[in-house]
Amino acid sequence: METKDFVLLMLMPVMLISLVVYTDKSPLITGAVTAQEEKSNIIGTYSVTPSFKAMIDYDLSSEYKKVKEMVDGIIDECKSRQDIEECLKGRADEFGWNCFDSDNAVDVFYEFVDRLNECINTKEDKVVCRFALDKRDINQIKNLQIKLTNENKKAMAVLVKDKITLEREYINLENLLYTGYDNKDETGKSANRVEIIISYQDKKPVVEQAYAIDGPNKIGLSRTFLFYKTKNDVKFIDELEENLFRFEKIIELPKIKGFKFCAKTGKQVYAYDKSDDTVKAREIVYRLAATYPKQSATPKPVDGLKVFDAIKAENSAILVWDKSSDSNIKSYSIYHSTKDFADVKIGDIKKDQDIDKKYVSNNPVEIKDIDLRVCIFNPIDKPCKYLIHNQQLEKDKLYYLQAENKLIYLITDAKDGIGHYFAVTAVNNEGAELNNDKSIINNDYVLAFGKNYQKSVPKDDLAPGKVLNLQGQGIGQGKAKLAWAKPGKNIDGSAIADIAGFNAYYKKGQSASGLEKIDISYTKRLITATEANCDNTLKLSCEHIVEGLEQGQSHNFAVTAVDENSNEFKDNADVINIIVS
Amino acid sequence: MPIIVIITLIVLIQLYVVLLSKNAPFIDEPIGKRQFDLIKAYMDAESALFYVDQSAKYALQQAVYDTAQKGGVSEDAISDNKCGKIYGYAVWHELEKDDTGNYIKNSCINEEKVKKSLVALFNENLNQYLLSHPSRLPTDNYNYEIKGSLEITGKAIAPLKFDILKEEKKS
Repeated sequence: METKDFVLLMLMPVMLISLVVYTDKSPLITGAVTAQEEKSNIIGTYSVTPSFKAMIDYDLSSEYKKVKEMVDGIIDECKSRQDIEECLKGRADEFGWNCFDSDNAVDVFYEFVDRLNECINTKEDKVVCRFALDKRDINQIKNLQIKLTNENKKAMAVLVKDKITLEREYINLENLLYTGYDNKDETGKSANRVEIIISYQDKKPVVEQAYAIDGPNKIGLSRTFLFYKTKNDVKFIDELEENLFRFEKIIELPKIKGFKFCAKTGKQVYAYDKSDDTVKAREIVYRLAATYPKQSATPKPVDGLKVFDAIKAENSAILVWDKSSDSNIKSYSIYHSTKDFADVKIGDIKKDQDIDKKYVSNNPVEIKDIDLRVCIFNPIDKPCKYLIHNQQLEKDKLYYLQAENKLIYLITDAKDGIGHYFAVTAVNNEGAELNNDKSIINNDYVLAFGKNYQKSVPKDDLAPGKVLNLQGQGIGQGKAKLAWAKPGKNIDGSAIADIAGFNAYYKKGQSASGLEKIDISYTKRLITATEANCDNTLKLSCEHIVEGLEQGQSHNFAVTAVDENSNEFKDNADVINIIVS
Repeated sequence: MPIIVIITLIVLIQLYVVLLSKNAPFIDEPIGKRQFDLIKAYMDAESALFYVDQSAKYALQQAVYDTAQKGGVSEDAISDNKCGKIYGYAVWHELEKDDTGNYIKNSCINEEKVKKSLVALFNENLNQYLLSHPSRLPTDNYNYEIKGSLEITGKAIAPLKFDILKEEKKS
């Protein structure tokens, strides 16, 4: 053997060992052949390691972060808003993130699943969860079947419609238990499956059937969605004994609401979707949700607030605002003060002693029409009656003006001659009203001039009542002495406190009849309370001497009271006749 | 020197054996039959590897789509998501009222959960493809790694084995 042959021969084992080492260590994807004894038809095995590497031009991390940041931003903005749902909807609209995949049957299914899950997740023990499915804007759905089965110690809810499975969702229950009343706190009986059949008629849900299958037995279950919740379990309730459970502590569900986002990324991949059963280029859309406590929506701010001076009334103002169609409004809060509180949060307004508060139930007295500019005293000594309505307005009462779809409220403690700020807010059943937090960006639930906040200065246009016991006599030298008593009331019958003086009227003439009216033929002389010698509030009798009269002539005299704002009412003044000596 | 002699002897014996077989008469198998069988097994394996590669490519696209559709939370991961679902959508944020009546925000999701869900969905999709292969390739056979934007590496746990069969007994 030549040396070279010998060397080659020696290299063979080395190469074999190298091959073994290479096969074992290096690239994962490679083949190796091993021989087997030829006892069977298999003479050897070829084995490969099927590792792989797949790539796609999509940055999961940054796309996720982008969506997350945007959702975070929306939530942060809306969480302090009173119209949280509208805010979320508005922002979702802005980004084109609203979801339009609604299917009534699927929605009903998830409504059931969500509420059952909410009952399961509640921390309460030994309570009855109760819920009803929402009314839906659908005329008819028939035999929507929700089946609950147990799969590997996990309950699964399945939606079946026309024998086709549309949706399936896990429920956080290990067993499908049902119970009667007596053993409700013990372990319930385990069902193989539960079936609920729902139909919708005229938008209302009707549970046609609800039953548990337990071996060969079929047990009717509560069709009003009552579930008994213990610490560890939620049990379906036997229909025959459901009435007994109504005396247990009941928690009404849902207590939470959710908002769905369909966050579009603008990126596409080829993918299958069961909605159209095809593979094609599809946009990557994150479907996610946020939840928040269920509460009645805070009523929208009142609009169209106007403040009128209440005519022929003191210290009064009439507030008029648009009636909202929101049936959720239980009452209105009316705030007024001489200080500007437009930027004060509602919580602080409520605590502020300088701001007057009134609360009126949203149960207004309906009036067809009213003219708030004109009123007449009929009879005198009673509040003025507004034209058309022909009635007075009472304080602390809410009126609904049908003709203009407005609400009217009379305030009687706004001092005349001073600027007052008025605000009206709507309050719902849960006491929620606008927060007037102007630190929240884009918060619409605030006091805004011209909408639900106004400034007005009530005027005193109410005249004092008629002077009493007017008497007079000629005292010689063309003089007549008049005496009367100060009026104790205004003409609307309210207490008077602002008499500034009197007007004495006189003219030469015949004996006055009861129908004599003071007209321009009378000479008027203003007499201050001091001149009448009755400026002291305790002194009720006044007197005054009229001079310069024609002696020997008969004169008519009348006296009217004048207040600090020169308001005077002379239609009912008594006219007396004196012969001046 | 004796070692060389012994080795030489062994080699010569081996060569003799080989020569004997070469001189043996042809039976019913054509020349190179076993080699062809081996090549056939190799081709089957390569085909399976190609199938796995393509499946991974499609499964990844589908997984990315599904991950987003499921709000970044696969069915397997939803039980770990403390906020669960509502209306069938994964909840990312829960708002709760504090004692002062203000809302506080609880976040329920993070990038790790999304990646975990992507892997779970990818595995699910890949399994579907693997089960469709004529050889019914093994499922749940990978350890996954996700890198960059976006690369997924599946390291096989068990190899694929292709039997090299005798012609006459092939069915």
